[in-house]
Amino acid sequence: MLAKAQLGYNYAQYDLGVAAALNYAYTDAETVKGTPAVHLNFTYNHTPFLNYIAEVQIGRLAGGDSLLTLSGRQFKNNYTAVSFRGQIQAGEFIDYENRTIFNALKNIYLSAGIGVMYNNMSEINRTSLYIPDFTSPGRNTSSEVFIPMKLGYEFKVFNSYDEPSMKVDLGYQYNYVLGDQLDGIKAGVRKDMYMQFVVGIKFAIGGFTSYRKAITK
Amino acid sequence: MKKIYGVFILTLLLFSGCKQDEAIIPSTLQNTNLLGKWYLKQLEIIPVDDPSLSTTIEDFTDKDFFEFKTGNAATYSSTLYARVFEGYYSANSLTNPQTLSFKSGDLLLKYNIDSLDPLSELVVYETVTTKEAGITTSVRYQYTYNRLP
Repeated sequence: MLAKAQLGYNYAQYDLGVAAALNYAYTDAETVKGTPAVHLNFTYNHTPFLNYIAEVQIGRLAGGDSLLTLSGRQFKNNYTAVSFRGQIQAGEFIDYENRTIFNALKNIYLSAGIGVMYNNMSEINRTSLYIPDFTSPGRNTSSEVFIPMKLGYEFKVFNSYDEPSMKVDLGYQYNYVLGDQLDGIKAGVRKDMYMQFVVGIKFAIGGFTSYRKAITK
Repeated sequence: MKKIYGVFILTLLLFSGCKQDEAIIPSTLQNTNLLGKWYLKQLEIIPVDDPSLSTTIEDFTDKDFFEFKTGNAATYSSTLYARVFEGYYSANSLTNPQTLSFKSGDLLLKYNIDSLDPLSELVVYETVTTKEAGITTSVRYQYTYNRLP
């Protein structure tokens, strides 16, 4: 009870957030294109620096060029993904109090988890324009498990009670797909993946409690 | 310390995986026995219904050839077209008879392989069927290529 009264120690256990992402899919298609996605997430903050995130992604992946590549592979995938990640921030490990640099570094985080994505090819070209009989087989719709891994920085914005009421998230997310149908084409030996540059914002929505040390400097 | 190793491994994984498979042309569309230059020596025009009416053309030059290269690249030179076409070939071994196709822009040649001796002779053919006044006529065009010009 004493801790709850101390300014700078309190935080919300629950956040709601939204983010925009720029996707790049590395698949069997020979060229890579940037495409957008929107993320909606709910975060349970076990501590201010140890977070569990449930997230829905709605977006598009695209790649290839039917005219300019030898294989002719080209796709647009309107996908939906749900994932769950555990996230650990440096502040959980380091003593940042009264140390300016460590205080800045405390918001660096790594996270990893698991998810499922639902792929739906809105456009696909499987036939080479140049090599007769060269076609790339695959499925127009599929669902695949993926492993999201993310590295980022979470800027915490404090309210007048020194509680982190809003967070701005900058991250790079690597999504390793345990399958080869992200582009609707099954070829080669490598599985597909897509990476994302993410900018998001999270709002504290309740469940206030205290941390063992001051969250602010 | 174990936590630090875990973080290190995760970071390595994050930045190590952005690689793609190259678009490898299936081996069933390649035939290494074809690689090299083949000069057109003979064209036989054979009416399927009456082969006795066949005609043979042999006045070809060293500008009538196919050249098959690695990666399915190919060159087709023809005095009939009076030009050289750069494109790609495929030799589909999943079909019987095996097909040999060449594509360059809008030009698409599709043949069946009749016989192939990698050291000396390649014989390909196409059968063209036309229907005129209710009568169907099929003609087999058979091309014989040699290694030597």
